[in-house]
Amino acid sequence: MKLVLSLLFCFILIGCSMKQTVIDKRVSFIDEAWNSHLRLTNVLSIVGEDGYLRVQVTGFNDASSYQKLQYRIQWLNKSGVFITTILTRWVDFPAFQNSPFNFQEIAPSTKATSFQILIRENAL
Amino acid sequence: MKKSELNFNDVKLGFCFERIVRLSLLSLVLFSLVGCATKTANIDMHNDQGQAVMGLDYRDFQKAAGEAVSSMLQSGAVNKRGGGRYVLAISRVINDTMQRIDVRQLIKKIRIQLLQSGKVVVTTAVAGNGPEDQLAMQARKLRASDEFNQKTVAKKGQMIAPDLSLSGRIIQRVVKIDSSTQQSEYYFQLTLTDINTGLAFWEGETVIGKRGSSNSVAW
Repeated sequence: MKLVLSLLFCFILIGCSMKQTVIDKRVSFIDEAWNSHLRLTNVLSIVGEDGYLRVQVTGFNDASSYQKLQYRIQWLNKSGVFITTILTRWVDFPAFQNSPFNFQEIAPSTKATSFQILIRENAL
Repeated sequence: MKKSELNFNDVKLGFCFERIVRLSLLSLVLFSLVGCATKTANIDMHNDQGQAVMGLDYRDFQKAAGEAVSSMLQSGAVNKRGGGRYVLAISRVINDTMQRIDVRQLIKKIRIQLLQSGKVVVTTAVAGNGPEDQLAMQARKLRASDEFNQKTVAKKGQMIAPDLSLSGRIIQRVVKIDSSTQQSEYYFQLTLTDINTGLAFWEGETVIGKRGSSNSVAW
C-alpha cells in the first residue's frame, strides 16, 4: 500500500513538473492573485527581413474558466529608451479554459530592439 | 390681553414657522442636488476603466487605428522594394454610421504611426477631399509676384506624387436583441491602394460590438 501511495505521489509530482513554463523578464503578469492559473510557455522575438522586431507570446490557461485578458507592450530602442507609439495600448485577447493562448505584435519602427509586456485581467 | 392682539401674534408666529419650513425644504433640495451631481475628473488615458458607451469613443478609435497600423506593418504592404519610403495620400473615408464622426481623428492616428514607422510619408498636397494643406499650391502663385525673391519660391516639378492611397468606410449595424436590448456593430474598413496599378495592397477590418439598453441611443 505504501509503495502504491508513494508511486502515486511521484506520478503527481512528475505530472505537475511537466507543465511547461518559461520565465521571461520581458513579460510579466500584473496581480499574482488571479493569474495562478496562467503560465507562459514561450516568448519568441525575431527581427524580420524588413528590420521590424516581431514578438509572439504563448501561454496556457490551466483554469476551468474562460478569461478575458489584456496585454500592453512597450517598445524600447537600443539605448533602452521607451518609444512613444499608439501601438502601446491595452489590447484584449482571449484565454479559453484549459487551452493555450497567444498573441503577436510587431514593433512600430525598426528602431525598436526590445520590449516589455504586461498582462492583466480585463476588468471591464 | 385683548382677544384681537392674541390672534395677531398667532398669525405672525404661524407665518414665521411656514417660512422656516419652506427654507429648510429648499436647502434640502439644493443640498441633495449638489450631492447627486457627478464629479468631473480627468480620464486616465493609460488605464481607462470607465464604462463602455453605445456610441464610439476614443478607445474605439485607438483600437481601430492600432489594429490597422499593426496589420499594415505585419503584412509588409508598406515595405518599399529597394528601400525608401512610400508617399501616401489620404483618399475618402466615409462615415456610414448614425454618429457624427470626424474621420480625420482615426486617420490622423494612423498617419502619425505610419510616419513614425519610417516606411511611409504622407502628402498633404493631394487628398480625396481636396488638399489638406492648400498653401502648398497657393505658394506657387508667388512665381508671378515681383515682391518675392524667386529663388525662395518653390520650383516647378518639385512635388512628389503619391504611390499609395488610403481609403475606407465606417459602417454601423444596429440589431435589436429584444425589447430592452440592442446591439451596435461598428466596422472600420480600410484599404491601401497602389495608385500606379489600382491594386489593393492591403485591406483591414476592425469590428467593435456593443450590447446595451435600447434606450441608449448610439449617435
